[in-house]
Amino acid sequence: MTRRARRGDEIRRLLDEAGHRPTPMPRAGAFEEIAGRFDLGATRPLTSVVTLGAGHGRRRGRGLPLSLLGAAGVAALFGGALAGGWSGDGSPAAQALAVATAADTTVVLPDGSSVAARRGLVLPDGTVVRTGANGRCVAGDVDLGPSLEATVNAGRLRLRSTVLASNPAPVLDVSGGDPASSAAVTSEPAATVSVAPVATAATPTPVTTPSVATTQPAYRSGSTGKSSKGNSR
Amino acid sequence: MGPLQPLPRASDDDALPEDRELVVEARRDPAAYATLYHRYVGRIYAFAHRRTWTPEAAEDVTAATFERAFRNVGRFDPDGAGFGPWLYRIAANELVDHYRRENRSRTARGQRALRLLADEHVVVDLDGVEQEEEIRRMLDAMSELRPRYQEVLTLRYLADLSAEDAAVAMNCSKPVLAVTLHRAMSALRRVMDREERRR
Repeated sequence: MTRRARRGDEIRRLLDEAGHRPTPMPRAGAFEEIAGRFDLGATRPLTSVVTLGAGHGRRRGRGLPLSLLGAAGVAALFGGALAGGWSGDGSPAAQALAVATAADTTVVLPDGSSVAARRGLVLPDGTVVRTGANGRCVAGDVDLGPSLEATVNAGRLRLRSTVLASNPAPVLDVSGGDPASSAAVTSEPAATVSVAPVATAATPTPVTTPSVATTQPAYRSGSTGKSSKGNSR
Repeated sequence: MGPLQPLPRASDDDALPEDRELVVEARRDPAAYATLYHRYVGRIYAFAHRRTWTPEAAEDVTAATFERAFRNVGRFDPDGAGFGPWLYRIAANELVDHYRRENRSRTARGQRALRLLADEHVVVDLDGVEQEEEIRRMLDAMSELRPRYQEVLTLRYLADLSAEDAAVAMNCSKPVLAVTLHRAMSALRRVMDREERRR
């Protein structure tokens, strides 16, 4: 093999290695802090599920579109009422939280018993949910990623302040787990809220959360794998 | 850790319309953008970390990516390329900008030293150290390439995009992508050879 050819192979190998290198977990709260720059934390998701940790950080936005900031402001005004509606008696949040989708996830119930998370498992307040390195758990409007720990509080999964540690370093796994487990999930019942941008606040636009959450993306298998990549490179 | 979560296929009716709908909704409601953010933030962070090797730089690039996407979400054509490839393209551009700024202020050697100090997750096994250093040298060399070459290499290898998605992200055809990739590899090889001779 010539030096030139060997170098080309080496570089390809290094690129492959770099592309599959484990990614350490970001520091705790990093994603929330970034989300805080967009003022997204004041609103609730209107469609689909969201990953745990919807932004509650400080806002450091710069030059954001006025209309979006206006919408965020109005959403914040409605946020309080909305939150009350979701957490009060008889509201959706008062209903039992249940696992919609789970993979590589352990649940520690308030009585101390530990079980593997499965679809339909009811999660009372005080339950601890831990996802493994390749884990994922969807419950309510929260999509818990890998290597995280959350507790159920007021009918909602809430991220604990400490991220599960692994040895030697926690790893962020964004492979998404088993695609087969990403089936259609049932989310919280419908609730109607009114949200309108400040600029056009005369007639609030009714927005309805879906009674059934949208189907998780069905990712293709293998099409981005390294074996399939070789020919097209 | 396994490969990055693949992007939804353009032909996947269950996946893409959801992003599309969210993008349309995000123009008037930041909550929809929040959903997109949480869907992609882990992947973009991992992508950025694979290029920068430091959590701080990866966070900065991730933040800049979503900030730019947020500002420009009105320009995104929901009927065109998918949101994922569009976002990766922004991230790739942010990475190019990041290294442009870095190169202005530091020498490559200094960068390496800083990264070694900053990255607490340097491999501990001795066998892996040499390979780690090799990858670092390659990534340093990559930052000397022209922006388009950096983009194609990062999108194809570090973001693990398929040829189809990378072509969409770079707004070119697959044959053009293949040619660009080939040239980028050759350029990277030249820079690495030059650096090797210097050492």
